[in-house]
Parts: sequence; C-alpha cells; structure tokens
Amino acid sequence: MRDRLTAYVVRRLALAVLTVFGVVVVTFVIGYLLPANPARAILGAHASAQSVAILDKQLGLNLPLWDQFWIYFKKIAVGNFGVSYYYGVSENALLWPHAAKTAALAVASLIAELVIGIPLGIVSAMKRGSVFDRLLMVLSLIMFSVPVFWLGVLFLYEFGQIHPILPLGTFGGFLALPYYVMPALTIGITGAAVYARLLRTSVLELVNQDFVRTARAKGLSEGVVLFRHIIPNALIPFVTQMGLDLGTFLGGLIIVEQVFAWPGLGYLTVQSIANLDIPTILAITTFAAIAIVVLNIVVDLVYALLDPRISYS
Amino acid sequence: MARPMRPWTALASAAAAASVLLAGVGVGAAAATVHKQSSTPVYGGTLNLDTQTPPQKLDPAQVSDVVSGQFNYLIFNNLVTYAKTTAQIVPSLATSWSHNAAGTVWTFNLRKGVTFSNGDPFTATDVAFTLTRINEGVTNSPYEFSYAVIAGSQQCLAQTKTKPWPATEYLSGIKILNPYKIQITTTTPEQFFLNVLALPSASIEDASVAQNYFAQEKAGKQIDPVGTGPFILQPAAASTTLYVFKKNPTYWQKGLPYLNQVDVHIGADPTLQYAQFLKGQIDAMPTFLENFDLAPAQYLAMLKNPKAKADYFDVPDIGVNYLGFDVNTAPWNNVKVRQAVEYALNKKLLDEVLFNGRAPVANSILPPGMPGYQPNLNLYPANYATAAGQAAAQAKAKALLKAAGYPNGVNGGTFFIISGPGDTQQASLVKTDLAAVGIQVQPRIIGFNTFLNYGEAKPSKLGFYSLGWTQDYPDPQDFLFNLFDGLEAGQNNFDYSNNPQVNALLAKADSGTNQALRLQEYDQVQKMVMQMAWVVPFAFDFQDGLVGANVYPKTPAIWAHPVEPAELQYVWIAK
Repeated sequence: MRDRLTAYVVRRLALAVLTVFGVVVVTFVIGYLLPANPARAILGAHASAQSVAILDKQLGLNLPLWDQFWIYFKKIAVGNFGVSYYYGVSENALLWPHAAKTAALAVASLIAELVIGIPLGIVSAMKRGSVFDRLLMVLSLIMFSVPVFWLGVLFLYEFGQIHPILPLGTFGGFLALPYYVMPALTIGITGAAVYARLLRTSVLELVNQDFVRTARAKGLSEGVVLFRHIIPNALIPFVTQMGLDLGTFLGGLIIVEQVFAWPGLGYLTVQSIANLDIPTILAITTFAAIAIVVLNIVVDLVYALLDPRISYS
Repeated sequence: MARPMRPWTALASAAAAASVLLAGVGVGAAAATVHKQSSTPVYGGTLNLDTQTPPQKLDPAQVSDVVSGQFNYLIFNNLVTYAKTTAQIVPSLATSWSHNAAGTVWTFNLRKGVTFSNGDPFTATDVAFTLTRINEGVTNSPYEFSYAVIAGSQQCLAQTKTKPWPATEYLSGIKILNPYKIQITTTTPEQFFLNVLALPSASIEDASVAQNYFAQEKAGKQIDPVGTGPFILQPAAASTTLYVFKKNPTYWQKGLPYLNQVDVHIGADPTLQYAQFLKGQIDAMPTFLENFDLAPAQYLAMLKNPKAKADYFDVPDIGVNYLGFDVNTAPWNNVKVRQAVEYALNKKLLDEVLFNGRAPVANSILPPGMPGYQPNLNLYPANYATAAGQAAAQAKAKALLKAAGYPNGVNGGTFFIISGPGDTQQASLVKTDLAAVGIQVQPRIIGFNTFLNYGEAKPSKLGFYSLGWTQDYPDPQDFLFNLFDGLEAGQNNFDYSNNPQVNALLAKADSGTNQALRLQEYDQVQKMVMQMAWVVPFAFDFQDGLVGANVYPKTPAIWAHPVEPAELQYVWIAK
C-alpha cells in the first residue's frame, strides 16, 4: 500500500513538473512573440532610441529566444523570478504579498461558497421533488449564471452607498473582516450554486444505497440518517471541487479583485499585462500553474484517504 | 508625451452602466457636510486620495508615468518650478539665474539653509550629481534626451552603459563654482532650458543617498526617495496598497504645507473612486492624478447628482487629440487625400460622443494655453451643425479625392486605435464619416505598447491612426519638434514626415534666443503642417475632477495645473 502510494505520488509529481515546465515555456514564447518592445514599454513613448537600445541590452532582450529562456530558466529553478520590468523590484517582493492577499480572499470565498451552498443543497435534497426543491435549483442556476462583475457592483451600490455598512473596496488588512464581505459574497454566491447542486446529486445517489437502508432499518430517524450517514459520504466529491476552486482562485480572481480594488494576483495580472511586464506575467503564471497542479495532487490524495474504494494503482 | 486618447480603463468602459447605478441618480451616500466658503488656510488633517495604478518608479530620474510624477512632486523640488496657477517659471531651489548672451552658459544661485528630509544640507553637489545621473546610461532615464543639450552628456551616456560614474564625477558642462552657485553649459542655446529643468526627472536628489540607487535597483530593491519637498514618503514596499506622505517639518517654504498627511490608496478603478468620493471615503476624485477624465456615462450620472455636480470642475488641458497618417505610403502620401479627411470628419459629433462636448474642437496643433496657439487658424472650415454645411463639407472632401485621382473613393487600409473606453465609438464614427465621402478604412484596436512597436517598425506599420499628445513643458518645441521633425521619425513622429523646410525652421526656432522670433517660426511650421495635413487634430484636452466640499482651495489650477501635477502643498481641509 505504502509502495503504491509512493509510486503514485512520484508519478504525479513528475507529471506536475512537466506540466509547469510546459506552462512556463508556452508563456515565455508568447511573451517573446508579442508585437511590443518591453524596453520601450518601460521607458515610455518619449524615450530616445538610444535609451531603448541600452535598456534592451541590459535586460538581455537583444539575445536569441533560447538564450533568454535559458537565463530565465536557471533563475526560476532556484526560486528567483527575476526583477519586474515595470516596477524595477524583485518579483518575489511583488508576488508573495499579492499572492497572500489572494489566498486570504480565496479562503474567505470558499467559506462563503460552502456556507451558502451546503444548506441549499441539504434542503434541496431533503425536499427533493417538491416545489421548493425545484425553486432552489432554479435559484442555483441564476446564481451560477449571474456575471460576477455585475453582482460585485450591485453589492458596492447597496452596501457601500445605499446602506453604507461596509467599506467601498480595497484591502484593509488580513484581519479587517468587513473588507472581505462583499468580494467573498460575490464569489460565494456564484460558486455556491455548484456546491448546492453537487450535494443534492450526491445525496440522491446515496439515498438508496444499502448502508442507508440498513440505517433506516435500525430505526434511526430520517435526520440522523441524513446527517450522520448520508451527508458525510456525500461531501467526498466536495474535496475535488474545493481543490479545483482553490487552485483557480490562487491563480487570481481577476474580475472580483478589479471591481473591489483587492490588491491580489488578479489585480497584479491586469497591471502587468497592460504594462507588458513580462517577468511579472511569467511569475504569476508559473505560480498559478504550481498552485493548481499541487492542489490537484493533494485533492487526489485526500480523496483516496476519505474513500477506501479508491486505489492508487 | 504621446498617449492613447484620454486613457480611461477598460473596466471603466464596461462599468459605464454601473457608473450610472453607483452615481445613484440623485440618491447619494451619506453626503459630506457642506462647509462655508473657507479662504483662510487651516493646518492639519489628512487628505485621502486613490489611484488605480501604483507609481511605476520612485526614482525621479526614471519617472515617466503621471502617478510617479505626482509622487515625485510631493517629495522633491527642482531648481525652478512653475507659478502657483500659471505656466510661468519661478525660483525654487535656485533663487536666481542668468545666462550669457549666446544663451549657452547658465549660472544658478542656490537657496541657502535648505535641508533634505533626512537632514542633509542641500548644496550644488546635489545639483551636479542629479543632472549627471540623469544622463548616465545605467539610470535608464526616459527623459535622458531632454538633458542631452548639457555639454558632456553624450560622453557620459556612452561611458555609463553598464556602470555609473563615481559620485563626484560630473558632466563636463557642469561646474560647481561654490556650494551655492553652479554653472551649466549647453552645446546649443535652448530657450526652454528652464522648462527642462522643471521636469520631474530633474528633481534634485540627495547625492549621498541617490548614489546607492544603482546598486539597490540592480538588486531589485525598492529605493527610499529623499528630497527637499513638502512631504516625506513613509517607507513602503512595492506591493503596498497605501502610500503615506507626512508633512516635512523642515520644508523651506515657510507655512507650507497645510496638510499633516496625504494618504494615497492604490487600486480603485474610476467607478469605485467615484463611489468612494460620494461616500466620503476619499476627499477628491483625482482624475487629475492619473490624467484621465470622467467617462461619458459617469459624467452624465454626475450631472444628476447635486452634491457631485457642486464638487466638479473642468478646465482646459494642454494637449491635442488627432488622426495621423504615414505620409510616405499610399493613399496617405497624397496631400489631397489627407485634406479630404479634414473635411470629412465631423469633429463636433466626435467631441459629443467621446467627451460629452467637454473638449474644445481642434483645428490646429498647438492647444490653448500653449505659446503660439492660434485660435483663428482653421484651414478646413466645415460646418457640421447644419445639413447644408455637412453636405458642403462632404462635397469638398469628394472633390479633393477626385483631384487626387480617386473619383470612386479609395481604400485607406487599417485605422489603428489604441484600446480604452471610447475606442469602439471612435472607430465607428471615423469609419462612418470617411465612408460617407468614399474613403474605406478598417478599424483595428490595439494596445499602446503594440502601437509603439508598429510605429517604430521600418517601414511603419501604422498607415492611419489615432493618437494624442500632452505637453511636457509650455513651449511649442515640445509639440512641433517631437511630432514633425525628421529626426523624430519613428520616435514620436509616427507620420514619418521629413520636410527639409520644416526641419530647418524647427532647428532655427529650437535654438533661437529671441522668443518673439521663435514664435513666428513655430507659427510658420504649424501653418505648413496644417496645409500639408500631416495630422488632423479633432479635439483639445481638458482636465476634470471632483474636490470634496470641505477641501480647499477650489481653484482648479491647484488640482489641474497647466503643467505640473496637483499642488497639494497648497491644499487644506476645513474643519
């Protein structure tokens, strides 16, 4: 068992390294092929051709693609993402503070998704087939379909202006909870629909299983059967969804961060694309790829731990 | 400087409808108390502002974006600056100056008793160091070319491509006469040399601190800027979302600043900024800080909000928006085709749609407020206010096309527009106007960096495009040389125009010492350019903003100075 686990982890890690490497190569080549000169982007339209040429050389932009990539690869292999073209500071100094803020929002958003989605899913499953169930499913469809940006602006209007109980945008500190409410709810509402439907489907699949019939046959109440037997098993697929969500969130909640001026990776991504700050784009892309790949591995391992039917072979 | 036309953000465009919502059409957030008119400055308080983009660089020699320019202005001083509300040059760290008859040797007397915010005394050494450093290759100053006129500049640039000079080595044209007197020799006379010394990049640095900037920047570290200005920037990481400027207690201008502190929050886009302003979370909507204006939908919503309307201001800015052509490529190499565009374009409608009619219509290159502005210069009068006028203008355009050899119209190729809100409207309006006279163009929206890349390509990939130019300093040279001189082809002259007569006139005017004669020469250049229709100006710039009810002064020029960033040292908050 342990050997199979080790082999599985090694296989997945090897694949993860290849995946991340592929992402880095593709992003690097795209950056290289862009019809724009980073040195010109840094210095602005007014700078002389001479100044641009000097900076080109300083940044190694006049080297062939493979030379540029090799220099870059040697750096990131030791965790050095280089220096931002636009800000002139190390990528590590930019990346980690922004990543930390995105991570904080990601966790808050995930909590919001679960807090809203799980009760909806439970009620829908308990009242399955009823008008209430159907209404909830329609509601979840609306929640899933509503544009995140539109919902965010609505929240700003309602809670920032009409009933100004919450601050308008920005980041007040990791423990400044009022600042989390609107952005987390924005993502939470749209994402909760997925969890609600997932839970409902899982419950419905389990409700006629033998172990449930056994529990009922033992005389347990419907509530005990639901909460002690069905729902814990129904939550197993949640692990996968949560992992996927977290991985995606850590890549940057671009739209929500823009709407609420949340200074995370999504915000930094938009800035770096607009400024042709290729090292920052590369750093964020690499980080996002690593986050998604690692979280997927963790999710698979946890899933196998939760469900003994899953085999590493 | 070249720029996309009034760069609102893309999300501001997408959020136009949201702006209407957030403006609350008469429903405001908790309105700030309206205070009585306050003409007596009040000391104390914190001014809260917000910008969407963080400052690019805190190193003054590397400043090129407007936010960094504003930060720079709070922290540093130059040898000279502009008067409080006008474009007149006045003393700053230099108390007086003189130059020789040829205009090539300038002597500056420096202000005594000034200290940097770290206590270091300000002396001529700091001036010499600053002006040398801008010219060093390793500094990567975007405005290095502006100081190339100082003798020894080219030698310095050539020798410092990988390493700076020692801190005590200066350009050959800089001589320290005594700790409070410095002499600067230029290779040619330059009437606007004082304007160049007032640029953000010439902000005087503390030599003992700035000599470490190269090593810090090479290591990817954030520098701590130390200046003699009214405020001191508190140490901040590059990833910070709040820049705090505290009052400089040793600032040499007695009695200033009034504010204790300026807090600049980073990240809110214009939609959010507007909502924050209405709520009172920020004290001014600093469109002036980032050099954009209220988007059309936001402006209309603001007009319906009495509180916001009372806080709004709108002043002309010194810039021009225009359509440009590659004058070496068919069909744009034919002057009659370019002149046809002048008649075909409904500039009034363009102004209404893009700027709510706030921008003055442009029929010349030099805008109001720029020396040499000619209000009566209109070589292609077209009255689109009436149907008859429109028909007449379009008939003239068609006649010109026929005379150019295109009686059945012509394909003008791709029309390049820089992306941003208003881009699709502009594309549509220009395409429609030109199609009405027989010129077919295919709009293509691209990023600003791609635009620069296309413009610098040889041959140019920009056949027909839209661009804007905002002044760096109030001298016609800034516009006419940069946009039309043959030496600037592919640099800022994306027309690739290269007319020997124009070049000769520009060279004469640029190095002239008689201002009246210079203005005559620039006037000739402007007329020639307009006759040849190298560009089709359609709107001059304006600058607007919102200033909170209890924030003073209300003078728009303090917030949207003709040349400088917002002059927050003169701002106070009434209690």
